[in-house]
Amino acid sequence: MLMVGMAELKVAQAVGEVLTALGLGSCIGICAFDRQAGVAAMAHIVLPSSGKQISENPGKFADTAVPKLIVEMQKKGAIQSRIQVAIAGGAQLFVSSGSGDRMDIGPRNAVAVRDALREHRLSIIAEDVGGSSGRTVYMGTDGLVRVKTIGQGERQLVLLGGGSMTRVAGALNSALDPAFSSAARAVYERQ
Amino acid sequence: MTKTLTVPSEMQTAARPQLTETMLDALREIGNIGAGNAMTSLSMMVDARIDMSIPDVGVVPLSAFTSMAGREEAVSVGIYMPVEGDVPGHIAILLPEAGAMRLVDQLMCQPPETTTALGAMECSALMEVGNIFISSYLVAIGGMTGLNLVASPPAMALDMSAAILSMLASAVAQLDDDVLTIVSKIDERLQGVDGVFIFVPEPGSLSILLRALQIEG
Repeated sequence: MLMVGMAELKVAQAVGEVLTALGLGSCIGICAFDRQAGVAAMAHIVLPSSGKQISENPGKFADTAVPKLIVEMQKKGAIQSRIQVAIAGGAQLFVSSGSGDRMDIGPRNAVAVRDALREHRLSIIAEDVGGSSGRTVYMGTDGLVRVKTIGQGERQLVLLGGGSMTRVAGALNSALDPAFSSAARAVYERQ
Repeated sequence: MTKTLTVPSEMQTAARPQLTETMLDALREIGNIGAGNAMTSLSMMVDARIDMSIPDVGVVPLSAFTSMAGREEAVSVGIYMPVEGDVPGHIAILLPEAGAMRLVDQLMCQPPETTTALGAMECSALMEVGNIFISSYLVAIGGMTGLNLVASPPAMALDMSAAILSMLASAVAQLDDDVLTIVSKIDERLQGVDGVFIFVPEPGSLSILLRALQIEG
């Protein structure tokens, strides 16, 4: 397993490799995959926007991580139009009587990630975002994205690059159904 | 009093001085005084002696921050409180689930292992403990430095330790790629309650603390 810590962005190509972000709270794991090139990538973003400041750490912000993710994948042979994306995280972990806007980084991250992806014409095939639970997210070099939470254990979110069926169904969010994921896997394995 | 947020960002990134041994000692002393007072109040609440380690002070890279307290996916209780006033910052107590349940038993004067799950009542008791604990920490630091540290209402979560810790790091990550942390560990050997206590001053607060202690930044 290749750990992707806060503000990190990593690319993997080796068969069997799994990019992993442990315990995402308000952070978001952006999982990207180009099946033809066999390139998987994950960014562990912490905050929505870099503002005007030039950061040495592009993986930290939604607006700088997305273009960096694309460039790093392209270096390994990926083509932008083939990249499929799944996102997970953006929770609001703490319940409080009144600490105000400090607590809503998660939802703001989710909005910023969706905007940045749209701006770079990358489509989100599946997402598991929001709520109040932390998540561990796995992105395998086989395109499989899994999510683990304390309450629900581990489940498959989506198989990226799994053909048109995954895309349509993923968009309808039925990718959240484990039965669907195994169906998607079966479709993929026949290809 | 100067609010950190009013300082232009480019100045603020440059504002954090290189930490010298004298500064680290001073911050360790601040952490020590705070933790000492917090431990005294906690010991009184559970009517048993509880100790904490000498604080670790350091600058932790964002990428390593969530592994600071051990297993990232360990289910833990987190009590978080933003600090306002002269020294804006963020404080959290992280108690692994088992240790938190032992603490509840002690608070309720129950035999060990009576508590087997953390429900609403247990969580509310822990939040109250956290509140008193953090407030005593801040009061002691305020007394030592002459600064005004204001506790905000606490917030609580029961989740993976990494998810809880990341809250502290995200709160200061806009300007910095690494996080100044003052960490004390609860000594597990005495009452079987383990846990960590973490104070993350905002980037601009360091020089305020050091100035109050008459250390040149």
